[in-house]
Amino acid sequence: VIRHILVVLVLALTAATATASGAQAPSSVVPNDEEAIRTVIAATTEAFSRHDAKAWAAFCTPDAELVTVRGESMKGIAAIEKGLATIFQTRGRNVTLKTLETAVRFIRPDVALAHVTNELSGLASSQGQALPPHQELSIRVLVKDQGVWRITAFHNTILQK
Amino acid sequence: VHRAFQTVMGGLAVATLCLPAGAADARSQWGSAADREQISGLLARWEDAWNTHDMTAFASIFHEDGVWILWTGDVWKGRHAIEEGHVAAHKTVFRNSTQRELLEELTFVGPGAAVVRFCSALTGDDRAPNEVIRSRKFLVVTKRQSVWKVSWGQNTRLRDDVAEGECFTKLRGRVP
Repeated sequence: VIRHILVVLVLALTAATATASGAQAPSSVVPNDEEAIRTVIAATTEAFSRHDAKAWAAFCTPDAELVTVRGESMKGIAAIEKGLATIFQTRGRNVTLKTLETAVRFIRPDVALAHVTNELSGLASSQGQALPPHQELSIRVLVKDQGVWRITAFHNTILQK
Repeated sequence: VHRAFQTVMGGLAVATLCLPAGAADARSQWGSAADREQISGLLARWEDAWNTHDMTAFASIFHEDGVWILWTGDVWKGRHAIEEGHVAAHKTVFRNSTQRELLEELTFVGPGAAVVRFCSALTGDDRAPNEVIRSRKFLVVTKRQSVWKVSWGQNTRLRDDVAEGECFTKLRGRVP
């Protein structure tokens, strides 16, 4: 019995040391993590299409930062919600978003990076003229906090071709 | 056996305490002053390499498997592709260009991983020689074998009507 208990202790200490030193291998990613991240990404696309800035921002960490395709910067959930709401009230009044491609990779078991290609339709110019649809590529850094994946950084670039 | 069990449980409690706290708290604790200095140094190297048109030095800021996404959305994968792409641009449209960088945000997302955002002003583009081209650049830097380099990066140019913000205001004083 004592031998079994000691084995458990050694394993626990090994795990604790590995975690504290950041020595975890991405192979220790839980299989459902990628699925959870893809669900978050799909949910942000849906929230954007229904112009729900509050729902979109709820997928972010409190200190998240977002850069739009225009180079505008938003820092923190409140600023992201306000910034997106402004877009939905102005040039994005009729926008819809469609996710075309998502690639996910893990930097650490609790830190992931996603490249997401979206197609945005219904955008208007600052003069109110309808603009043609465009594709955009975003890089997103997600962190897992208390079992929940959230976006901590989002940087978007419009595809010129 | 009971005493041994108590000892083990005590050990487990200590082990649990050794685990990192919640991610939000831990983020502020990751990254030493030396880490910050080395990461900030990447921006200085970026600027020096660009302005001396030394694209080998520029590419050395990236890990071997680094990825760079241009403001056009084109993707250059691997240090070699990043170097070759920039060499071609610096022989042509960027041959007289100067770029200034300023750190806007550095956030550690885990031990050995950080997100960097910096503002950038480019002058001397042959296609727009009199313009200051503003952009926000984003990097995911990772530490491998004690060395911080760029694993992924992406560039977004600012539209003309986007407000300067503090970073660009500070940077403007350094633009030639």
